[in-house]
Amino acid sequence: MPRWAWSLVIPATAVLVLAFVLPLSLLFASSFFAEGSFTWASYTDFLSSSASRRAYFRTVRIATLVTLAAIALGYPAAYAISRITMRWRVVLIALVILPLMTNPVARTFSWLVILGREGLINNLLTALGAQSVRLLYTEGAMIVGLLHLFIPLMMLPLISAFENIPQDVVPAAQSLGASQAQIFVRVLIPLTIEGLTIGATLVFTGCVTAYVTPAILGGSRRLMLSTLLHQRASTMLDWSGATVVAVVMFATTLVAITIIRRVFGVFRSPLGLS
Amino acid sequence: MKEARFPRVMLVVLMVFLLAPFLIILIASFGDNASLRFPPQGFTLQWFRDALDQRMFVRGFYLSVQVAVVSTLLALLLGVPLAYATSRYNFTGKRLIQVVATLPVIVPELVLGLALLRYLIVATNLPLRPSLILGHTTLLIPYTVRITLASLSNLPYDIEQAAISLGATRLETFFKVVLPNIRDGVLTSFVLAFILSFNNVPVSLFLTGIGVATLPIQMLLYMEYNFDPSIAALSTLLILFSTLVVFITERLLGISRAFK
Amino acid sequence: MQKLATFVKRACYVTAFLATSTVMSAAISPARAQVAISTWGFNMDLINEHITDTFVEQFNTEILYDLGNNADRLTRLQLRSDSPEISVVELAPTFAIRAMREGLIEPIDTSRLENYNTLYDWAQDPLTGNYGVGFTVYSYGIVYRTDMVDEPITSWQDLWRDDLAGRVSLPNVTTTQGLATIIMASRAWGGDAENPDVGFEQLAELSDDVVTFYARSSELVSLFQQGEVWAAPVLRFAWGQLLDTDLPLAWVAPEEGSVGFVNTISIISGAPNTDSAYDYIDHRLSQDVQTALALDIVDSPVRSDVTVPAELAEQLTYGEAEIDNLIFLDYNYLLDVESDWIERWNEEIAR
Repeated sequence: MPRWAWSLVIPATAVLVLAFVLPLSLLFASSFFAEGSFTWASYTDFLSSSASRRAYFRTVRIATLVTLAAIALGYPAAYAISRITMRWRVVLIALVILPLMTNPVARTFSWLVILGREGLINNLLTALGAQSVRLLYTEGAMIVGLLHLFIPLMMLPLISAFENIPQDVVPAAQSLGASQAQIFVRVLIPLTIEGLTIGATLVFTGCVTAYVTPAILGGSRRLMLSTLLHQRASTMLDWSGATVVAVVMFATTLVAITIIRRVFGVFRSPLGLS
Repeated sequence: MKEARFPRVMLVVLMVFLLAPFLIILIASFGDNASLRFPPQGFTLQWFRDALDQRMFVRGFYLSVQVAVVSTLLALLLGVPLAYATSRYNFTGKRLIQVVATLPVIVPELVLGLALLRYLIVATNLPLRPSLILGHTTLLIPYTVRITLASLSNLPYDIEQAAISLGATRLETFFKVVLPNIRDGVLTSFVLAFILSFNNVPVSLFLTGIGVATLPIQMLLYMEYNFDPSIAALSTLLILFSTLVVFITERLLGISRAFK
Repeated sequence: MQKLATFVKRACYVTAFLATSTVMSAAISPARAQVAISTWGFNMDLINEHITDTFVEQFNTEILYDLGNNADRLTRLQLRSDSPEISVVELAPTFAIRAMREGLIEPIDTSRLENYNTLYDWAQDPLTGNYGVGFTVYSYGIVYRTDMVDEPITSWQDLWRDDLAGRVSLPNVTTTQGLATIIMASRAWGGDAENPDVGFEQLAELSDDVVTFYARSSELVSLFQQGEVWAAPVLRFAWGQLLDTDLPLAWVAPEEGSVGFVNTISIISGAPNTDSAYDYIDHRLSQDVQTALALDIVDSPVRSDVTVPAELAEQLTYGEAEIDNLIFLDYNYLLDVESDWIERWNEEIAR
């Protein structure tokens, strides 16, 4: 590469190093040090604190549930979209993208209006003569809110994957006598597994790291790693505690990405068509 | 498969699930009651006026726009050259730099916000506004790089070489040959980066202080004090704003194609 | 060539926008003197009316605000302790003592305050060492919706009643009143501040029926507005905001007693602009401001010469009878047991 071309590379790299790599490395390193010496203390504190453990398992649990729900709802819906004529498909895709372009506070706020004691669902219930139910500040509320937030991220890679399946594959399988189930399992899934993996990864990691939705719909009653991190950092002034949560959160996303790839990799197409 | 019913049903369910909340917020923002309820009673435009009147929201809006524009421009100024170099040349550390340039997408933004707060603001006493812009820029670089790379890969290098052999300088080649052809990619990344920065919460959450709070953060703060329809009105306005942006970009660029 | 021209034109527009907005923001910042104050941000419109605007009139100095709850603002102070931009901070007592212990605030020269001598004696030096001056007092009581709760609430024990299950909120342990809640729960069930075990047990049992633990008083106001909560222990300064919701509410001074809190105003160590700082403190303690805020049910006064009509006095922590009965806590004791109690809270109660 000609020497002048370094001037194209250096500015971006410098910014990334100074404003990203360096602060993160320092943060990561600081979690292992207390009063100047190397120690696992912050991590053992994390494991021994029931608040931290609860937040951790709740986060993993909710992220898993949301991802499964996203697949259950998103997979068939994406298939349906890929089968629609181009003109309407573009409209639908734009509608799917729209929530992603919107303020997360606004998006989550709408669930307050739907799930609150004076909201849509409870007003419906009382109109029908039933008792009003506590829906907010529960795990269910967070699951619904997170699903609403992240399902577009599942849809987009899946739609893309379905569109990449050659038009004649499914009719060919049908003409060979394959049943619906067989087509689904032996043809569609292997061919879309790549998109499914991307979608699942995006949704899962999104749920682990999201802050606004758990904060508004779960409050301090149902802490997740993200709200715990914020509480430690700003409310309890516990820097090292917050840092440990941050590292655990990051580690969890990395582990999750690896596991998802492994698990879904099992379904990979032997024909190598994906 | 003949058009099976199940996928279509799920599609309808999904669309309702996705879009109904927006409709609900829209309706709720016209309600007459002091506190937010659904279904609302009465009809008034008062909350829209309130939302636009609030000092915190107006200031937050201007700050968000400012930060978004500056960060996006910076991300482009930094990212496009990097993408160009990556696509056209080989250099030591190329692989490493490529990885680093995509990392901000994987690291939880909350973690990045905390790290920036501790080591950028506290350690170097950098004032809030530049730190905010720096933080946002870092988040946006992977997007500008990735999208520009995609555009560049569709432009064969030979064309540039032809221009050079015909006597154009490097700079001329870039502006007259490369840029016009990656124009769509650059504009797409501009819009995407702008929206990402405008709506960002996790990084902005930590990089906030006197007179420096972006619009989403102001909304969170406001919600802590009030539960009235003015947030619904503001949310509606923001949703309309996003819809407009998506619509315009779709018309101009077919943004849905960029998500492939 | 055409595309290049369009590109350049667009670039010019963008640059113009940036330039204009920079110029505009510079133009909006006035040439007046400024002083930065850290405070909650509750009732901002009334604060602006009675404090910000009157301060500008009297001293020709603008007030810039750093807003947020105690913990957030204290964090920001810690972060900026080397080169503080804020001159004055208003904090709740536990946080003020923390700030004092960390050297973030400096002693006040009370001789510079005109209004010092008109304050009640318990408001003059609540932190010791003149590190802070009290500027408002509030009690800790219980609020409930009279239309939803048939039998009146008179005691802390009533929060455990079946008819309130799922409609009660308690403050998060990290709030100003968090530890006081544990103390009051202990007192209600036979213990006290030195013997909190019964309080922890009872709170653990109540926990499932608690909607959420509110972290800020403003959050609780929202919870009442949303209809999620019918009863909760509340600090008196939030009473005005609760009344604004137009819900039918009643304030209870519980049988077990009302804890009293004095919010303090302090000068930041090494702050810029200490003259304006003293001006602000004096202004905050002046009869005009204290009376205006009392009449609007924002803050209960700490001056002995503020008169408030009887109907309004009911909404405030005011009058000899009420004030003499307030229980003031030992903050140094609280700060010592704090981390233990927070751990116990997380283990046993916040499941």
